[in-house]
Amino acid sequence: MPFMAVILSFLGPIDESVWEHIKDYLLFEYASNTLQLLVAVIATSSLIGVFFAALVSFGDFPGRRFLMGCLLTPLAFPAYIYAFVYTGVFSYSGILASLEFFSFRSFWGLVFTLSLSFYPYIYLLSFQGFSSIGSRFYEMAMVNGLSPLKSFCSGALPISFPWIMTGVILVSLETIADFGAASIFSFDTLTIGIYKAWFGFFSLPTAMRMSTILVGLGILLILFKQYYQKDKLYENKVNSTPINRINLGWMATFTCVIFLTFALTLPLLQLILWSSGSEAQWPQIIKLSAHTLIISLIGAIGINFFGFLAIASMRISPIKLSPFLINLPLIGYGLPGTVIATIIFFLFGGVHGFIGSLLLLVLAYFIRFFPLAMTTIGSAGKRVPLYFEELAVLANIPRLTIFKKISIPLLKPGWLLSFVFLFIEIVKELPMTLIMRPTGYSTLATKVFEFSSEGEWAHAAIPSIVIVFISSFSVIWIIARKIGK
Amino acid sequence: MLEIRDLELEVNKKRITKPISFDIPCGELTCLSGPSGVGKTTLIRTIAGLHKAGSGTISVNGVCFVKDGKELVPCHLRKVGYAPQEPSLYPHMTVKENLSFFLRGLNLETQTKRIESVIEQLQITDKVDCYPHQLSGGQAQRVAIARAIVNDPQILLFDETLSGIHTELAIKVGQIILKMVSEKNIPGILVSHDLELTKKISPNTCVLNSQGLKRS
Repeated sequence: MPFMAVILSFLGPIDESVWEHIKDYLLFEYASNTLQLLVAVIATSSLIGVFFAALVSFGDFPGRRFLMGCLLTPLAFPAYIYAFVYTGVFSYSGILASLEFFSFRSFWGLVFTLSLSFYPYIYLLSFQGFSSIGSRFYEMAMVNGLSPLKSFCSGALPISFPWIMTGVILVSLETIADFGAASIFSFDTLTIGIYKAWFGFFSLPTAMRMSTILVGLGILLILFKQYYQKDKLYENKVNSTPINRINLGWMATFTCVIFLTFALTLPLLQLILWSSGSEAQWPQIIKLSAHTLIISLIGAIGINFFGFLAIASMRISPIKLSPFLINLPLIGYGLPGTVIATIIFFLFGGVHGFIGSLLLLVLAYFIRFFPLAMTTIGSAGKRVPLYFEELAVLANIPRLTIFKKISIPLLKPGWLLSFVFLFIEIVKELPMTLIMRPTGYSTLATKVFEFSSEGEWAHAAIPSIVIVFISSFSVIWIIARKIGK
Repeated sequence: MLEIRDLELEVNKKRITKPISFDIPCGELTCLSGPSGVGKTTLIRTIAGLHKAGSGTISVNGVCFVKDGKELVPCHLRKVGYAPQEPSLYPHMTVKENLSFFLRGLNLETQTKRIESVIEQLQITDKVDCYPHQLSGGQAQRVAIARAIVNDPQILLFDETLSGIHTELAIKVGQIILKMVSEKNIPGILVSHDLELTKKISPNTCVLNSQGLKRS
């Protein structure tokens, strides 16, 4: 669908004056801003993610296991919540109002909020790398007489690079796709530019043509990820022999706590302070929560069902698809929400009754998040030998019975995890929901955006707390499965 | 009778052996040995229909499964009893459920009779209600053998079924397979990398290497 839209956008008519104006005066600025932001967020997130992953993997300190899980919880905070909370924290009504001289609404402020929100991807993947093959190379270097720091730098770090790179690519995709935080900081990236072309210049064809750049960039990043990962994620098996961790003492605990004060405590405290000072309109909050839960459940169940069906069918199909065809749907994850919305409106704008329906919104979620379901279920499936299904196929057992009796129970860890991932992503999702929701259908995310765009931080606080609360449950569940074991 | 003529094995469109030709009459167990990576598992999977043949012909009891590399009978219609390298018992099912799953479509009485018959032959009667993780390596292998034969196949294929268990038990399990093949009067192949072990189980032993298949 994206490819079709890209081709059609160049064949169809365009508002020449709008396109020329954007091309001559704005496009370079959008592209340059996007690139600068990308480089800065990658650098900051990598530093934070790799540093803390190394600390909890190779160091021992009081509260290590607890803090190890806490470091993942920022996953529950969407970037746009961090953005408006931190903007508010430094404003006249915020808890750090005394630092008002410090201008947080700047490029580096945006880099800080995006990094806080996205570093957990790099942290989680680096941790997996360090705790599997990384720890063995670390031990080998130690045995050969290197210091712990040198053993990490020359042993664990280089061998874990494929995991770190996968995290970096995910952070890149999320940064390019970010709409809410950049919008709150009034920082014009390509994603914001597309939105402005559509809703500011009222030119959908121009927005579509601009989307081509991000479609290309997304495809490139996904292809790079596939190419880079090929035969490189050596193994995911956690090293069962406990490694001899260096005792880092309270200093490491203190470092984690200080960081978590900025990533967790301060934003939560500020949200609670704002919400206690504003009059909560509970009927509205309940309605928003219900809307969010309904659309997230429909989306997560539907996408998960098709993701499971795709992986389970591939496992029992006698026809082996080429890796290119298998990876083709993954490109969807490389497309920002604004671009997907633009593509869908471009293609279905003329279909009466289709635009502004929940069905179309779910279709948008499907394009963006189906790759997430496929990769999560597919990764879990790699740990289940194909023999299980092959034997049933050889015995001429109907496909539906194989799905019900073999694939569903054996792939359960994968589809359960995928459901939770999808659920969190849709609860937090902003641009597609904002653009494509039916009239009058607001979710917690869209309400937070509406209030925070107007500077009504106190009103945005309660829906934000509900988002963080709902997402936290899912994040804690993931932590319990991934790290708690 | 299993007849194989000029069969070429391919992995990723690369030929891995010279053309193979051999026959296995009904009631005979042929042990297949050879160095690692030479294509023993690929040969077994090609006969089962789980791997595409490069060229050549495979037929069982006069029915041509593959002719000139073209699949004529899909894997699910070949009535093959197959035990892969690992026991691969369904971890969420008991031994009895692992066996009855392969007897779907038959009535309950026939299912019970078949299951009772194989578990008695393989001496695992007391393990029917156990889950795979409650079985020892040898017991799990015996359940895997029971599962391969419970569906009344017309050919039996065992891939490294004896690896991972100690020699004494391996010979005992090998002899059970030999007996099954003889009683059912069907052709059988037992793959093992251990040539000495295979010689102790069956007098019919073949060695597969890049030059093709040789009877030893």
